[in-house]
Amino acid sequence: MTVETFKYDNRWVRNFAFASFLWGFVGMLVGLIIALQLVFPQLNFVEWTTFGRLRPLHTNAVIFAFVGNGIFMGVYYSLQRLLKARMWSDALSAIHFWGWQLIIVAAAITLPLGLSAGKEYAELEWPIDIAITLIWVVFGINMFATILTRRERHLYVAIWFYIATWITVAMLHIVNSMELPISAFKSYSLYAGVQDALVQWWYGHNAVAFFLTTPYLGLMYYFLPKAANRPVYSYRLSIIHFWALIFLYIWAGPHHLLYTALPDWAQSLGTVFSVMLIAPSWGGMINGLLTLRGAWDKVREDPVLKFMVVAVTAYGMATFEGPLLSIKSVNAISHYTDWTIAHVHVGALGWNGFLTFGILYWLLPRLYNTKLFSVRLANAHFWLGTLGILFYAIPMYWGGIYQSLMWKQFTAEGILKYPNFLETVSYLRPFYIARALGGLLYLTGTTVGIYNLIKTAAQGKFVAEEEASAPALEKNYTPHGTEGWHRVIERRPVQMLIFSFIMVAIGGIIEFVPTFLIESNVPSIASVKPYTPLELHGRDIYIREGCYNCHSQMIRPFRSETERYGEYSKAGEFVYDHPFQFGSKRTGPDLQREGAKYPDSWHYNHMMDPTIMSPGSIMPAYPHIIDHDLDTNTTAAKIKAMQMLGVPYPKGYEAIAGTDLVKQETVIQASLAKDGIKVSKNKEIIAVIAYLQRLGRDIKTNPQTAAAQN
Amino acid sequence: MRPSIYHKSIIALAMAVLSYMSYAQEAAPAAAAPTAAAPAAGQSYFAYVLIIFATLLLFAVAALGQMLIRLTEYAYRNKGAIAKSIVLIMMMAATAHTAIAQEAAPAAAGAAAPATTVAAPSIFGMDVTAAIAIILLEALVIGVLLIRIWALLNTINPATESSSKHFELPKFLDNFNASVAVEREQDIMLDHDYDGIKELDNSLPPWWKYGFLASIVWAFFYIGYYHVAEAAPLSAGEYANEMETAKKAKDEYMRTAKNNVDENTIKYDQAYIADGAKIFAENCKACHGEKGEGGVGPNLTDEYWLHGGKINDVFKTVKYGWPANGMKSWQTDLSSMQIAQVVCYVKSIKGTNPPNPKAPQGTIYSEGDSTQTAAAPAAPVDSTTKSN
Repeated sequence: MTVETFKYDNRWVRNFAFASFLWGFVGMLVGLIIALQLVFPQLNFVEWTTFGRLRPLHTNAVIFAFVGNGIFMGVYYSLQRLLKARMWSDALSAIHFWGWQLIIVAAAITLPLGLSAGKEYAELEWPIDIAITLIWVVFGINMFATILTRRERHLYVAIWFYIATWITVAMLHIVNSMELPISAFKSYSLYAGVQDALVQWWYGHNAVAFFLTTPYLGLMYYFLPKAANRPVYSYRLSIIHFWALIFLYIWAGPHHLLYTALPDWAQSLGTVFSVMLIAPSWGGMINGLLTLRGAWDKVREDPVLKFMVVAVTAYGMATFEGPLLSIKSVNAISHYTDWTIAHVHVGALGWNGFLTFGILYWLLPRLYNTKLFSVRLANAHFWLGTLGILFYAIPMYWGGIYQSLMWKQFTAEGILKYPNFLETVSYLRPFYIARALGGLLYLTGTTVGIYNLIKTAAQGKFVAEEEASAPALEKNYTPHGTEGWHRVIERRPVQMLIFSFIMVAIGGIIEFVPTFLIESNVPSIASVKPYTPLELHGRDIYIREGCYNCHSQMIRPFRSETERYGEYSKAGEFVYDHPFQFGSKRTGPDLQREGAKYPDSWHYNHMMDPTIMSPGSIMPAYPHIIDHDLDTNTTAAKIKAMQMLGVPYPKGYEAIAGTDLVKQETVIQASLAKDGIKVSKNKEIIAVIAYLQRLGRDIKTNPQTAAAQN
Repeated sequence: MRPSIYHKSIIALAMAVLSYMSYAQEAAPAAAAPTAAAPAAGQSYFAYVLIIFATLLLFAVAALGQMLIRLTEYAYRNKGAIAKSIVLIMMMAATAHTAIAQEAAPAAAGAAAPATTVAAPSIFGMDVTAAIAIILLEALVIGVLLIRIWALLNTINPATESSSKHFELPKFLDNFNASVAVEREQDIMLDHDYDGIKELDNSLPPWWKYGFLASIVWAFFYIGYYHVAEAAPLSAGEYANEMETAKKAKDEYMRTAKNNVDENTIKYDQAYIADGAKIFAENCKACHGEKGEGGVGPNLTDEYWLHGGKINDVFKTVKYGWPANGMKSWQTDLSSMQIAQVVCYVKSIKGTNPPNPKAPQGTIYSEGDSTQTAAAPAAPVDSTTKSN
């Protein structure tokens, strides 16, 4: 047995670490800004900084930039040490790092410009989607080649999680980003309506599962026992909870679509698989917390462990609450409200945020061969962060539940007690202020943390190459004694990859195939017609402005919703919606039946300044939509793309679409003129009005069809 | 002495919670209108959730209480002197509990009472506010128990003698999780070593294992119940039931209600104008102008009407709307009484000549002209269009 010496590459670990906390700061700052925009709408400033454009920037930045870099930091550090091998290729590491940062920069530029695919957490347009795929493959090659050239026979539990993460994120990203480009930065989702929604939330839910959860569980399994210097509590529990978690998680996506037009059977699958997820999720929490047995006195002293304990506890809370929110009767209250916002922030601020900083406080002193600059500052960060989470979550829970109850309340005469949606929004104002305060506390903590980390780096000397030695693996391996079945898989990474893929593919296939292929799951409605060219343009502006961040287009079958908004939504109404725009939050009212509710002039005034028509409204003003000319160069391309996606425009319609568009513009222009508003007809506002006035009318004008659907 | 600090802070906390509860009862829309009858369906869902939560908390209280008793026994057996002070703490805590309970009871009862008098569809006669009050109380008790346990652990932990900072989870957790004690962990240490990380091979915590199995069984039951046996309605069926129940309740209410007006019985009434003006300011001025001079919508102060100026026609216009012209139906937003009030207000502002009037639209209507009714009936009433 020859002992080989080699060097761990710390350079990219360090770079990912710095990228993580610097982007984290940016992402949280944007979060604070949009939190304040909900209290002071004048903070929306210009078109590039309106809420609808910044909110995707916030979510993408914290998920893919803060947590994403955090994942790579942890993986690059732990993988080398758990395998006793240097990362396979320095060049691939560099491409991975710089490629990922470029993607983030591209996102930070394109999202404020309104270049958006219109699907939550997957807003980035198709060229960036391709770049993400390529860089993810680079990461995968680098990781797998390292695994294949390892000096440790068996793969530790952290690596199982890394493998499952890699294969699943690749699958989710590719399937959900299937889109038809019509220009350099505009594309349409291949799927429409309910099917698009199912794919999107399969992706959206499992982005939480396989980007925010499984890789971080992997990190927990390495860094928590290292920091506590204790053995992992239970190997058996690791095995069971790992396989159960990845298998069950993938099914749970439909719980984002409870009481929507998604077929009932799919909704029920979403509910039961979410509830079955409690135990596998808690398996991770238990294994983390009980690893600290015998080290609880250290938890009192060591800020690293404090951060980790709160992180794991927050993980346990969020993964208990998630299934609770997936029960239909709870979801009937929580969906579309700030309750959901509170829930995800317990996960994001608690689990991801605190685990990242716990790891950073442990890791940076080691990378720089020094001690943490200040334990007191780390403790201050801990308390600021903890208080921040509480100040954030509690008002959002309270406000969310109360707003929902206000929406649902009727008077004895059988009419809505709060028919004016705005009244319920105004009620939230103090809660939004408290939430912004919570966010400010958390961000202050982060700033203190970054200062502490930079000072730590400054006082030490960076160890770029860390020497290590281990014997090479022998070619012929004979297990000593009887070897458990799982031990066998643990020394066969390719099999582990394949088994993981099979496990995560099953749930998606079983939910997708019937929804796409069986007619009765999306019953067609004869009166539902494709959008006119002008409406299609208006819809693209709706997507560009990110209206779906605050407005749903999905009326649930509740009396309180049909009384407020009109007939509940039917699957057949969305068959031409590429992409779907159901939305997931009602900061403003649902717009599914907005068509023909108000005059054209109402919308014109409302877009110019929402407070004219709705005093006290917190919606941003959109004067730029009134100023901008509509870009009609793309009309033909849009119609052709829609035809390719199966929207039944007559053959050759793209040639005359422009004429139809002008005709419809003239009608709207005349209707505005009647109310004393003079506007030239090629302005974007005309297209937006056309789209809004079309919404939900296909079955409004023909109630019989709707009745036949029931 | 530390316990007394705890004691004081507990009482302060209790008072804060109670005062906040009474504030919440005033501020909360649910509690503010107990006489306005039937809480929404969502509220009864919510009550279910709260009750489940309250029950869970009750279990937590019981478990923590049990633990506290055991710890106290342990302390009593081991250290006579400390035990004395513990008994003292327990007695003080008991008085605190009684005090809190006495104060809280009327609050909870007060919250529950209105719900029972209107026979609202609340659960077990319990209103949401009452459930919240109970949960807060339980949380309070849990807080008290935790603080007490913490204090006991600090006093009786054997390690206190060597280091005041040593802290360990209570031993009973090992039984609960079926884990091998930390002292004997070498017995179950696996022989692998990953960069210094070792793994124990503790068995699965029984509560975890059986909880997981239970959730799987429940999943099969759930799918079987809804999709195989079809024992309960799904979304559409639930909606139909909800609408039917609401319709019955509304009909029942309308049968007995006073002040019930519609487009046939509406009469101009001077007394309605003040309330009507308020409704107008809240709902109508955005389109029809602050003084009814018009804007997005037509001028309401001139003699011209698009859909008839007779009070019955105006009532119809407000109630059913003219969606094609941009006037929405208000019957899901305003009660028939409120519509009557705002219609009377609108009739009262004729000829007020506000500044910046919108040009006249429609035809002239003069009061008492019975031939000039609207040409066509207002929008049809059916399930799809009524809430435009």
